[in-house]
Amino acid sequence: MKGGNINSSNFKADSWFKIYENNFVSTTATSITISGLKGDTDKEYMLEARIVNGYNGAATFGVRPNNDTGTNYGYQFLKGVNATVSAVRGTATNLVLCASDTLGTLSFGNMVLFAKSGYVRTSICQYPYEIALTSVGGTYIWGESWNNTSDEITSLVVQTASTGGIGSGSYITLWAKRFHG
Amino acid sequence: MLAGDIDAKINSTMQVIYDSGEMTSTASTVSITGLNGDADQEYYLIARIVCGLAGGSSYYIRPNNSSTTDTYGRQTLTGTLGTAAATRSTDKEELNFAYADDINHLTFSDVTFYVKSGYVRTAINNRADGIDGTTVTTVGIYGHSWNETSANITSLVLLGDGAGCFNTGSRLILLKKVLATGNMALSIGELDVRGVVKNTWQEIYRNEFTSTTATSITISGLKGNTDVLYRLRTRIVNGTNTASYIFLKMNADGGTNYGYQYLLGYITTVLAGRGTDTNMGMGCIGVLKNELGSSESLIYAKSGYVRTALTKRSESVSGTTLGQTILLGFSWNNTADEITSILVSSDQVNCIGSGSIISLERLNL
Repeated sequence: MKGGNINSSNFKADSWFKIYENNFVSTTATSITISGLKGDTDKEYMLEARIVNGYNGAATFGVRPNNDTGTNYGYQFLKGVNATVSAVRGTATNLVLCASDTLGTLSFGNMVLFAKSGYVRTSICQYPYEIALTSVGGTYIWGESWNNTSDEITSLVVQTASTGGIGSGSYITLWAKRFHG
Repeated sequence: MLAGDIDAKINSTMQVIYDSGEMTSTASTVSITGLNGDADQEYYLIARIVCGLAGGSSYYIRPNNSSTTDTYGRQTLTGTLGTAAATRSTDKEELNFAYADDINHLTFSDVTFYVKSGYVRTAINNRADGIDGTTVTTVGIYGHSWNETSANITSLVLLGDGAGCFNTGSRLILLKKVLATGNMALSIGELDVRGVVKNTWQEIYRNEFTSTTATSITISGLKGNTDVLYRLRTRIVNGTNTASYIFLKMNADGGTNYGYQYLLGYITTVLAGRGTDTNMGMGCIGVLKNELGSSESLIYAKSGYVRTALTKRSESVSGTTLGQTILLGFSWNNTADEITSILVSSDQVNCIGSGSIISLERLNL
């Protein structure tokens, strides 16, 4: 089939399909919920966010499957900040997506998540952070886990503990792998 | 609605909008024009470059061919031999996305670039630089900024350090997020495609181990010279109570024909290292049953040159405890043979346990 443009509501081709997009124009948020998901059918998600820090201070932006707020997440990251390399392992209350330290600075996160239940959910995330003008504050790569093996992912909450941190100009998209019947 | 093969712009997918093909002559610059960054919002560049300059070259992106001094910045995180390093620059006149250290050496990189105006433009860049035979000189992840907030990006100019910097064999591929709505689009409900969707990543192999285990699996029937680019994702669950390791072999080649450079974080330690091996390592999946590891590899498969791969790995995951997080650049020092199979194997019997997932995607060029 050869054609021009096709706009399908559900494109199933064993390929990636954008299922959520939010451009924050003149609005801010502390969290957004992407609901109606079927993680056991979709199996894999890719989440991208270019966040403008709307909070006057440090803000970390994370993802909570099914809005799980418990300390059920683990991580191992390595980073470069100026001339320093470092690594940290720990536990958290979300999957970290990106971060910024100052009002108005940018961060750009890309996360791939194995979503299907049955086993601990794992993700790999990369982001540059605290971007302003020509300064990139740091570059990170994270391995992360959500220690929940049983629940199907039906929502992803992108959130921050810093009120209004998802600032005007932010952009969040979610891609899912859609399999043909 | 069912469909076979499709060659069209599909709304809400990521599709190829530019493919240089493997260059048949040298080039000094490559201009990708006719873009609309404010509508497209995001681009994804894959670059496999054969260096055309003696002594090497860096490679750069100039949106709108802008080379204004002090408008680009970056933060690097790299591994070269045993040294992990980081640098920050705020005074560049272009975005440096790749480097090869001598003529006919390779570099393999990708760039995810948020291009919409209104704010500083940002990019994430993974790269394996200076590849020759089984040597991968440097692996790195760079964060970039372009401090130009108002101009709509209508072109991307790619260039290097001198005339002929792109040697024969170089290939540049640009994808964008497709917006195909409105009156000029065929609007339909569900579209179930059973064939090939041109210009998109499409899964061509998937194996989910629901109640079985394996020591290895072979993804066969591949046509690497036609397919060109693969993306392999694995989530391997340890099927044994033994420390286990997963690796790949192209065409089951078990010779010491693979090279790597890694950069990893383990607890509070950052390490880098380089070496050769009989396979492409996909990492440790832990010491106990049901521990797991995940990986994602971008592989340039076409013969004619050393094959290259970029891999991200998260290893030895158990509950909320993770092992290493690693970035690697690989080479397979075989320039002649078409890749017809990829072996995914473990060093322990039945280590690929129930719950494992192996997925191979092809970019349909």
